[in-house]
Order: sequence, then structure tokens, then C-alpha cells
Amino acid sequence: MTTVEATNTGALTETQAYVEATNRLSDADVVFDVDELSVYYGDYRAVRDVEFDIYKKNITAIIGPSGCGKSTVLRCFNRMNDLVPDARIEGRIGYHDVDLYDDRVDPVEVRRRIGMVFQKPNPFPKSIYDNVAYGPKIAGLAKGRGALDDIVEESLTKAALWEEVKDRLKTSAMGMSGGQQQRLCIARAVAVSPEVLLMDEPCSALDPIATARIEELMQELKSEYTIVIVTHNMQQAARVSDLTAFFTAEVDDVTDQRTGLLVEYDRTQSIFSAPNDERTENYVTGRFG
Amino acid sequence: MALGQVLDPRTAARVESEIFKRNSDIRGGIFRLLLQIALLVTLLTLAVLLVDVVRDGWPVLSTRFGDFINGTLRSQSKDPLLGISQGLKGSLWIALIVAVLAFPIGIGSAIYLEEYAPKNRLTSFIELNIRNLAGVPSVVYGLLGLGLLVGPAARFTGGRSVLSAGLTMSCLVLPIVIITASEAIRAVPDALREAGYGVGATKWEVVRDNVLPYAAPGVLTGTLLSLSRALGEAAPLILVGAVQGRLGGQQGWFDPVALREKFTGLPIIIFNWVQDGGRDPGFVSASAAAIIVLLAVVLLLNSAAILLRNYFENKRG
Repeated sequence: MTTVEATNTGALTETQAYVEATNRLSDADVVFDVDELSVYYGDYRAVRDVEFDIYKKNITAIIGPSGCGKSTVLRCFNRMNDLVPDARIEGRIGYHDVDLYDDRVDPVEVRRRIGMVFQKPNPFPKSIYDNVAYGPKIAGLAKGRGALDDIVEESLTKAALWEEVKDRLKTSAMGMSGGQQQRLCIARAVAVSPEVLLMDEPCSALDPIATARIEELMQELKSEYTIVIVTHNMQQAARVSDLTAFFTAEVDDVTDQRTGLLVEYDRTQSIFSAPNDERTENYVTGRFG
Repeated sequence: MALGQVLDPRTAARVESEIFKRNSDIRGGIFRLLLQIALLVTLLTLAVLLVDVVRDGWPVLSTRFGDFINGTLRSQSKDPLLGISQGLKGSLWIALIVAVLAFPIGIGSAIYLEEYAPKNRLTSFIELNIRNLAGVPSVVYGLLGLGLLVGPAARFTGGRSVLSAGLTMSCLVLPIVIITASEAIRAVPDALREAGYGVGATKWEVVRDNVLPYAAPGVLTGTLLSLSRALGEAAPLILVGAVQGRLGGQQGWFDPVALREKFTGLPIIIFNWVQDGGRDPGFVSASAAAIIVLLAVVLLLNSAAILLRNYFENKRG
């Protein structure tokens, strides 16, 4: 097997990468086990027959062209699709082997364990402190005033924001830059001590420098949280993730509807250097998408 | 052509002729003028109204403001005890009842319709009907009050009383409160709700901590404006029995006993005195003075609405 040097920083040879990745995966727990998942909005089938697993403390990227159901699938993991009136799923998503869509499951509890960062930063129109403190407060995680302060500091530190804002915690979050607001949203998400962080194109509204900071952050967060990220940016997926799922969309001849489907799911190195499916290869080499 | 070389002057001349302003945009000018005239007419009308009222009523207020506020209905305009206290009292009581009843019920209904109710034909039907109710002439609400509150419910309301008037005005104002609160809540961006749900908030927590604070300016403005409407309507008050003559008994300003007694309101007093102005010209100035007081109260309420809205908008950051 030839050794190929990757061109980005932290380069590994192909052999080394393979060994690292397989070792990690064999030790890893499966956090989500997606089994023949289809998502419908009313009669419209947005995504069909998705089958893959999300592994603990790995970064999984979901890539693909627009309109192929990436965000739809992501939002299934924390029951956010419940908020859309017509949305329903078929198939099963197991969260540590518990059916996430079982009638007995409380979506509120799900969302405390599976947090989300959205595409456009959406801090609460409150102070920086209150933004981070809100989740723990309503979840009853902080006993006593001191405890809440600690959680806020810890979360802001994890989001690499503490040094910048520690002297102005009581000022409005709306006065921050886009990159800072997004890091605040990350701090807010980790404040409730989730197991999983879902990120829906978290950098697409940010400039390159802010993007780089958040990508750096993700590498740090990986040691504590399982991360699933939807991204339009292939290079970002290649830089940041351990595993990549490539989606595409099919257009139905009869109804003209676009339905998304999972084409290939593998270690990131493989997807980008030696994909199995021709569609994957076309996308990652830039021939379409 | 190398960079930095002077461009062909013929090009400049051509461009100039194309992009330089032409002197005549007559249609645009006329349109603008018509709009200005429209604005001027509006302002003039308001100015004429105000000037007329202030000219007539100011002498009364400037010479005996305190007595005027505390005075009562009298048959002679020269009577030193003439004043609007009974009307002011009645109107303030009505305002209080409306605030206590219509606001919570209206805002609560709006929250339910916007956040909790499923979007189906039934809820659309309900919303359509609420809009219709907001357009129903106020005199019809007076008839409702007369037929329901003054008649059959007389044992509870005291018949032709402030309580009946307050309840009637609450019904009048309720659809407006619901509509303005609904629009304020609808204007809350979904991203904010998603952020709340995202950190594991329940629906109630999202509404209480995210939606309502954001919608507060709009809701407050709407409710306070509806209050000024409630203060100014005369027709329902007439039907529900606002007294057009003298009232007996002197109660304190906020004596709850007054709830079930005969009453009157500022619009009614104004109405009466304008009519009395025929036989006794002094009532003309008295009515103008009363109008100024009513305008002042309404202006105060609207200003409070604007101030509160600005306060909450700033807090919202």
C-alpha cells in the first residue's frame, strides 16, 4: 500500500490514518443507530432509507449538495422536526439503543442531552450571562448562585470565549460580532452538559477567521462531546471530521419531487481520497454540487 | 490601452449626456406635491380641531382647573360647582375594569391562538370571526350590554351602572386586544423559539422566557391604544345608561360602592354640554374644556404606550 502524504496540517500517512481510524472505531460506542430512516413533510418524502451509525466522541460530517435532506436528518437526532406541524418519520433512530421516537420519550429531555447550534447565530436577546445560564437554570442543574456562575464560566471557557467577555457578562449578547455570537451559542449548548452536539452549518454565516476558530474549537470539544456537523463546505468536512456521510438528491420522474438519500458513509480519509461510489467522487472532486 | 492613460473625451461627453440629470421630471414632481398636499390637509384638519377646542376651553381650565376637575353636573354653566368629576370617575372606573378584564383575557387568548392551537380550519374560522368582531360598530356592543347586562343580569351588575359599562367596553375592546397581541407574538422570529427549544426548554418556558418578552412592546402598545379607544366611545355608554342629568350622592373617587350605582362618563358629559350649549352658551366653553381633559388623558395613555414600547425594545437589545 503506497503511503500518501496529506497536504493539510497534522498530516498523516494513509497507512497511519487507516490504523488510527479503525482502532478508534472499534473501541467506540454507537451513540445513534439510524435504521431505514425516511422523513416526510406531509406527503412529501424529503429523505429516504437512511442507514448509518454515529460514534461516540467522533466528529461526523454530513455533506452533499443543497436540498438533499442533510439538515432534515440532523434535526431528527434531537426531535427538532417535531416543531414542524406536518413532519413525521418512518424507520427508527436508536439513541443508545432506545427508540428516540417512542411515544414515551420526552423531547425536552432529549434536547437537554442532544444540543444544537444553528446556522445563523441566534442568541437570546439577553445578557451574555443569561444566555448561558438559561439552559442550566430551567433544567435545575445549578444549586445555588455560585454554582450557576461556575457553569457559565466553564461553558464560556470551553467555547473559547471567556477571556473576551469575562468583564462584560451582563452586557447584551446582541452587541457581539457574528463569530462571538456563534461561540456564545456553543457555550449555551454545552452549558446543559449534553452528550451530543449537533451543528447545522455553524460557520456558513461567518468570515474565514471566525470559521477557523470554531473549527479549532470543535477539535477541542471532541474529547468530551459527540459532534455531528452538517456542512456545505467540503474542505471543512475534510479538515475537521473523522467520518463523513455523503448525501445526494434524486428527482422522481413522476412527481418531480426531490428526495435525499445517503450515498456513502466512511472514514473521512476514504471519502475524500478513495470514495467507492462514483457520485461521491464527482462531488468531492468538484465535478458537480 | 495602458492604465492611467486619459480616456477619450468623446466617451466622457457621451456618458455625460446619458447620466446627467434632466431638468424635467414633471410627473414625479406633481406626485410629490400631491402627497405633500395630502399631509398638509391632515395636519390642518387636526390643527383646526385643536385650535378651536383650546380657544374655547382654555379659559375655563386656566381659571378654575381644580374646581373643574372636582365639580359636578349642574344646570347652569355659571355655577361655580360645575365640573367633570363624575364623568372622570366613571371613565376611570371603566378603564380599570377594561384593564383588569379585557387585557388578561385578550392576551391569554392571543397566546393560545398563536402558540398552542393547531393550525386548522377551526382556528382559522375563529380568527376570522375575531377580526369581524373588531369591526362591529360600537353601538352594537352597547345593545349587547343593554340586552344582557342591564336587563337580565341587573341583580349582579346593578343595571345601569359603571360595572355594566365596564363589562360592555371590555367586550368592545377584547377583539382588538387579541388581534394586536397576536400580531406582536407572530412577529417573534422563529429562530428565537428554536434557540429555546434547543437548550431543552418546554413549550411553556419558551413562551414565558423568549416569546413574551420579545413581543412585550407590541402587546403593550396594542393594549394601551385599545384603552384609549375604550375611553372615547360614547354610543355604548348611552345605551348602557350613562346618566344625562344630575347624579345623586357624592362618593369618593375610588369607592367600590360606585360600581353598581348610576354613573356617567366623559364622552357623555361632553355630548350633554354641547347640547346644553343651545340654551346656555357657557356650556360651549365647558364642553370644550372637557374635551381638552379627555384629549389629555388619551394623549397620556398613548405616550405611556410609546415610552413602554421603547423601554422594552431597548431591553431587548
